[in-house]
Amino acid sequence: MIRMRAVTKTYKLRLIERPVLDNCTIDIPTDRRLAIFGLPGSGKTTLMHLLTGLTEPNAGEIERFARLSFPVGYLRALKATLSARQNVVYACRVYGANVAEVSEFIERITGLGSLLDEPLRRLPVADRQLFASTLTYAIPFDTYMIDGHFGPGGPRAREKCLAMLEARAETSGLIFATSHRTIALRLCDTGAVLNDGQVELYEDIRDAAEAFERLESERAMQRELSAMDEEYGEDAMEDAS
Amino acid sequence: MTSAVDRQPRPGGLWYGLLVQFRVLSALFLREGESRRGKGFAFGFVAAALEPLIIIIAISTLFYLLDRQAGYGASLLVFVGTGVFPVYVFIHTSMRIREPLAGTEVGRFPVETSLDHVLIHAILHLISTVTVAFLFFGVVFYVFHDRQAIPCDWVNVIGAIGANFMLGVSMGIFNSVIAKLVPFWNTVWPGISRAAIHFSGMYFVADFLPPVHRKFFAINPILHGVSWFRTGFYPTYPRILDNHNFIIMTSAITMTLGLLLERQFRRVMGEAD
Repeated sequence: MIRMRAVTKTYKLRLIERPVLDNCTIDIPTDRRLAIFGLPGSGKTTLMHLLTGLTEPNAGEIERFARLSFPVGYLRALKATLSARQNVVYACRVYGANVAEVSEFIERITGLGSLLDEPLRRLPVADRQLFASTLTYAIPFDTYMIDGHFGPGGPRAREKCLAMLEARAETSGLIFATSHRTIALRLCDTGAVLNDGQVELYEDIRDAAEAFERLESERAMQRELSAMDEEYGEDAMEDAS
Repeated sequence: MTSAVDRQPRPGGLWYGLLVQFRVLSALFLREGESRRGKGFAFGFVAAALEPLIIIIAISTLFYLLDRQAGYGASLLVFVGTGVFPVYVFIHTSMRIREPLAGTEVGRFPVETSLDHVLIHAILHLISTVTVAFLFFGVVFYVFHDRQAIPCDWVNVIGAIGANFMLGVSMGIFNSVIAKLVPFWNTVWPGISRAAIHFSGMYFVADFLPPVHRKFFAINPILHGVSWFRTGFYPTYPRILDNHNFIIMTSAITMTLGLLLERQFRRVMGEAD
């Protein structure tokens, strides 16, 4: 369980400022397969960073009662000047995993062979991403945190990552932040919707997906209306007068 | 993939926290010790501590060529060495630990915190500088047969190094906060600190300065660290200016202020990406 108490967070860049959470108090289950739906730009990534502990909230408290993974495929934690193998050793030490088991698993799944001994930055992008995703699944966690992508883009890599994820999901929890309903319905059994600074939980994933669908169509309608406003606004004003 | 999750200790409680902390610190220590500035060379972090050696050799050569005597004691090498090492314990620590806090390039796993990185970098720099200092004074003693290269009072030597190290750590944390507000500071601080070392009594004895100037030199806390260190080597080193409380209080205040500000600013600013 992740316990959030009165958490407020604003995503701030130099020009953009978006409220992600506004005084949000909620208990997020970590032993379920939870999909968190959110419209593009609603702050799913920031929420995932808050949940894992990569970012601190502006106000409020977050307590974690499970061993959460880092976001699947999170490359920034790894050192690009070190080899993939050295990074595996480091990650295993940090998370208390068995180095030999994890290395053997990664070797078998990625099939990168001696490329694993080259500095990470020399690896082709796709291989690096596959490596980082495999590393996440190779380490045992209570809950796997997925921010949008459970694996890199290529179809073969996606298949591999999906298989690993499904194997892990049999015994571990899953938190999957996404804006795609199809894949979430396939992977998850419970859902939540992030909207307007609040997270709302739904026991059944289908209810969450439905709520999100309504949200999406609302947003689409708003878009259309404002586009129409821009296009016909002046004419309409003239007609009215 | 087959590791039993059940074998792992459960989250919650003091012991789990300590276990995670220990894992993170030991993993970081091993990784940074091996890779930092080393690029695959296992003793890279010791090589990073060669700078004080170069400075000692440069100053000694200069003094020799200019036909100047050591400011105190018979041996020029020991005099300069006892000035350079405490100063570098401060400078390198203060400059290098601000990187993990202020830098944007340092990624981390969610269980690591920036302060873990700070702690490990500080310890690594202490170890490397002390190792090189041991090597230096050992060579001076065994090769040049200089009796004064062996400290007469180990308590003062360790105390002085500890005080300078703490001052470096607190200044490093404080610097990182300033650098978050004014990124320009990262470029300025190495200059300021390197200029300040010339006022720290590296190659002169502050007590022998005219009393009018002396009190201004005494504002510099590193100067106290240097004379503290030297009292461990020279039993009769003048101690008019030497004030241990001053350097300890300075670092305590800077540390408190730095940690408080760091905590505040961590919440207000700074995205992980």
